[in-house]
Amino acid sequence: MKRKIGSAFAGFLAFMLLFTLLSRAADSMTVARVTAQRARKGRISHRVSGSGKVVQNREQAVSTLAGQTVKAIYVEEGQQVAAGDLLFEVDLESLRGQILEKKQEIQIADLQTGDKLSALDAQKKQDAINQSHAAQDYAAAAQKGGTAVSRAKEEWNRARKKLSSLKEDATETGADAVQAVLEETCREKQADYDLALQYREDLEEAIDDLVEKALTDAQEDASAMRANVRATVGAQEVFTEETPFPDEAAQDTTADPTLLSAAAQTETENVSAEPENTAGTAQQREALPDGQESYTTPQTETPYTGIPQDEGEWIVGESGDQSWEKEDPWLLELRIRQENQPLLDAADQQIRLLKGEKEEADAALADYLQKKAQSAQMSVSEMRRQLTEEVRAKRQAYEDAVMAANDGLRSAAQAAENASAPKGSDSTAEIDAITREQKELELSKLERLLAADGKVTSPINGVVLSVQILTGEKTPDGTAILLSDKASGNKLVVRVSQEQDAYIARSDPVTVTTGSGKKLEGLTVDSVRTDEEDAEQLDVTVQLPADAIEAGVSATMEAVRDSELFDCCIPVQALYEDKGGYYVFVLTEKETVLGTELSAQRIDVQVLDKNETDAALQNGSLNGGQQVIVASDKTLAQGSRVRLEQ
Amino acid sequence: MKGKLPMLLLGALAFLCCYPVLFLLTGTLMDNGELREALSPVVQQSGGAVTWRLLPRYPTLQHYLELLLDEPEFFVMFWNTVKLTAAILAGQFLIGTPAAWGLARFCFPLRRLLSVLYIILMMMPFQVRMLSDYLVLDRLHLLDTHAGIILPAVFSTFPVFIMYRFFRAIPEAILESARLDGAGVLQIFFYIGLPLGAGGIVSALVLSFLEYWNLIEQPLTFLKDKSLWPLALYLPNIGAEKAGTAFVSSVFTLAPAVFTFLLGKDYLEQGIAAAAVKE
Amino acid sequence: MRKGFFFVLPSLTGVILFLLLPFADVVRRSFFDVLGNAFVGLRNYQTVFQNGAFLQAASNTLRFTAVCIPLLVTVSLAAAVLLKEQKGMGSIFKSMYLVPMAIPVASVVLLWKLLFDRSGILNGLFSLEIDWMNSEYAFWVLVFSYLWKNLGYDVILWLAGLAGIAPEIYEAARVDGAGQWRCFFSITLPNLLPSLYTITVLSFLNSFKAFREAYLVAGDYPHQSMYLMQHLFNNWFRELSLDKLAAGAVINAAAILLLVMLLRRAWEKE
Repeated sequence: MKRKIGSAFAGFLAFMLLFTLLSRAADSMTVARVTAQRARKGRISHRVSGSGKVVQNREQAVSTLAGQTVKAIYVEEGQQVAAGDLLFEVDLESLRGQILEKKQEIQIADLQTGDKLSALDAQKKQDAINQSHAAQDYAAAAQKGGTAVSRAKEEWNRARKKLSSLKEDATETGADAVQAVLEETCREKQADYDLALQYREDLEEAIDDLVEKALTDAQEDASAMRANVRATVGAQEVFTEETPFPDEAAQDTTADPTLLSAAAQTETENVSAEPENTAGTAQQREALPDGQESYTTPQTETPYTGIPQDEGEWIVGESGDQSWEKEDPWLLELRIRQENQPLLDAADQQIRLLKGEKEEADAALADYLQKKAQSAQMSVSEMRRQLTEEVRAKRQAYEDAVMAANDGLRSAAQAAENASAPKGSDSTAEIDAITREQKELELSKLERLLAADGKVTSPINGVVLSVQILTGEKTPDGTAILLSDKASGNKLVVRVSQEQDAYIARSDPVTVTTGSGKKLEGLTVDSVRTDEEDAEQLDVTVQLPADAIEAGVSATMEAVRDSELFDCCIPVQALYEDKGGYYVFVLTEKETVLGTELSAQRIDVQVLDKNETDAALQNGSLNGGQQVIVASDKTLAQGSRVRLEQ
Repeated sequence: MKGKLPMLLLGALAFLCCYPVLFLLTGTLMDNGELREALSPVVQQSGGAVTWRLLPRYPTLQHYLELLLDEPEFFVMFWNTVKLTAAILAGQFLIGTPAAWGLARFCFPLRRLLSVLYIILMMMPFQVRMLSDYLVLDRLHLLDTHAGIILPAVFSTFPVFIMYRFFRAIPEAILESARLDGAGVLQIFFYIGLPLGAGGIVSALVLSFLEYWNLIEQPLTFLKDKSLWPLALYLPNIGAEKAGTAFVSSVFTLAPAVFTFLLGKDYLEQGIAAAAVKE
Repeated sequence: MRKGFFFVLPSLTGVILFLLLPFADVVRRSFFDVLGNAFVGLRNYQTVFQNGAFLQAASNTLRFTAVCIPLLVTVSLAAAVLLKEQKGMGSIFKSMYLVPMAIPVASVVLLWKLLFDRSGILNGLFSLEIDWMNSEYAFWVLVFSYLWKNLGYDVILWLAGLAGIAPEIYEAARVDGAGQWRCFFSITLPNLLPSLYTITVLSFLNSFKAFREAYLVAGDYPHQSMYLMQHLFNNWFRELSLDKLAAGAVINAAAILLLVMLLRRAWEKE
């Protein structure tokens, strides 16, 4: 029993010994092994480096007419070319087809211009006729109104006179008076009738005058228009001769698309408003796209700004009776006469009416005479009543006549005014001229390309930077081939991160190394700019000496900037970041039950400057003797026990 | 009745004496959650009172593993205690046994005076010896060393007193016959005195062990370096939040004492009883 | 027989070196100032006796001794007498009573803390609201802990004493018709008187060790009812009041010596 307890006691002590070792081992495993060093003096150098491609300082674009089929391309990217070297070639067949098309378009445009001129003539004539008609109507209305009024007044006066004479001859027998009145009526009617006859004659005469005048007017207008057309065509020719079409300028100029499309629209409407009388309509329609294309030639943009957009005017010109197109003078006369026929008819009607009235009056007089003969005696008072009534009626008639005359006069005056109203300016002719001019310009360009056998050559000595066309495809509107100018020297453009902004600036010294190991020292930064595509990047440009490095070669750039001398520099991996601040761990010695132990103590520090390898701390952040932990195999925290790696 | 009631009383008393051991064992087997729940009124002043189960609800050996593997400090203290106790016991055996023999079995001048002096010195508590110990340790530069604890303890007179009692009990006749057989003084001591006085030596050492395993006053006064501390000082420093560890540490502190107790139980009783017997 | 002296010599040397000489120095120092240079006569003793803390600690210690020792002696005697009657379980119980001796102070401190806290186990068990460690009860906690710890020790001592009484005496008494109580008072107690001296002295000796529990549970400055001499000396030591410490140590030593001598005198009169 005792022995057992004794051995159990011994076993217990052995057990404790074992675990003493085990716990020590476990403890040392959990202790972070660290390396530490003291802060030292030093400079923080900032190295900004990046790689990029060497490019020429100036680039030049080579282009040709848009819409050409590329037949062959003779260069490739990076190839050196001399001025005059063949770059590419376009298909001549399609070029010729385009030239033919352009020519036809011009012809069609000419024909259309002729049509428009004649239509314009006719319209002018019509206008003149309308004007004269209105004037005549006014005169007639005035005359007619005046006549009717004076007549009504006369009647009224006569009725009053009759009444007064009746009063005077009250004692006398009224038979004579009645007879006189009737006779007077008969005379009046006769006069009216005569007047109507006279009016008809006047009317006929007036129509003849009008016809004659209209004919004369029409002739004058036509001749004036012809003169105008001749003048614009002449101007255009002069312009074409004086302004040759330069290739390069074509690349640089850009036409305002809205303006052009507006212009194109105007053109389209003009064309569609064209009557269907001509045989060339279909052809004209086909030519339309070409017509639009022609506007992309930028030279012509300026003249267009002045185009009057008032298309209504053009339509008014066409709104007249269309059968009067191509009218001859005799037809004109006929038309005028026909138009005035109603007036004549009315006059005839009037004559007939007045004739009837006269006959009625005559009949009344005869009736009265007959009645008188029948010796029916009418009382004077009866007579007077009748006469008074008549006077009132006549007066009424007079007033009505005055009113009617005024109305007629007013409406006639309005008609005359309308007819002579001014009609806006008309630039159709000018527009047509310009369109034609553009088409001719295009034609000349095409012809020039044809003359060069469809070959496009390099304008300068340089290197092909990019080829934007493909064999068999249509040429684009813009650049076909981009060349770099050899004469202007090379530069290196390198992209670096925006963060490096503080460490690189204009005229910093840099070293440039090419991929093949060629090293250029003593260069300086030419410019530092934010990259256009990526705001996070900076474009650093370094001008290279002439002929130092070929364009297109990739190279790296390196700029080194040294800081001032700092007293307290530590390796950057010793620095920890937390909530915007920095801290380091330093070694501290601690007396524990297990003996002297090292532990990590956290110290917040101010970082003055740092780069990829080192950081400079504010003086006084650390004591001189403190060792900063620069590496640890475990995550450290304030007070972590550590073991210094030897 | 006569047999039952005293039995019951004595049994209750016995349970009261042993309950702390049970309490400690229960504590070591509780998991953290249960401990926290049980101790929260004391630790966090959360109201209510501490309740203690006789047996843990979810027994676990977690705290044993934690202490054994994660607390190297505990082992430092443990071995400090072992070292102190072992050294003191060895010293007392080497110094005290001859002294007890000499006082018990020889007649020389001042012997009686020395015996009285030893008994008086045995009676003196630490509070009386504190300053004198300090002065001598300071002079010998033994402050803050284990030797400073060990040396004064080695010259403690209590074990001498216990052994003295046992050596006195050896019949003079045995020694006399040995002397007649021509045995020398040392021979008699080694071959008769030690074997016959073994009970006294063991009981003195067991009593000393229990005393010095629990040593508090001297290390508290003379050891400033915590790495030299014995377990008895380390244990109360374990916070209540690590109650599990504290319980297990207590059990490991208890174990050697229990082993010694079980080993020397009979001698212990003899040793205690020896003091009571009138000369 | 001078040879015997050589057996004692190593121990005596140590005792003189480590105990007697330093104590002599302490006695000397008790008449000097802090630095040990200037003779101040009895001033140190005067200071100590006028020191409130010393008087408090002294009275506490005396009170503690006066309460504990009779209590322990009585309880352990009763236990021992009862235990002697038991046959089978007796030795097991005897061993169990010794267990507290083996339990390290540090181990029970945790239990003590939990047991006597304001919201501790004891209050919980009996629904009390006593703050044991911070009131007058602290003294009784200390008494309890002392009893618990030393019961077994004293029981063993009493049992040894009881074993020394010849059974024939009891038989003769019974034959004479003496009852159990009469036997106890007439035979047992008188025969145990020699043991009483030793037991009292050893209990007294052990009473000084109660400081350990008090210190570990309550620290350097416990409730004043349990502020013992050792607390005071520790604090003086920390303050390096060596003069007071020296005087105090001499006073203590003298008191203990006096007490032991008085006990011995009383014992030898019998």
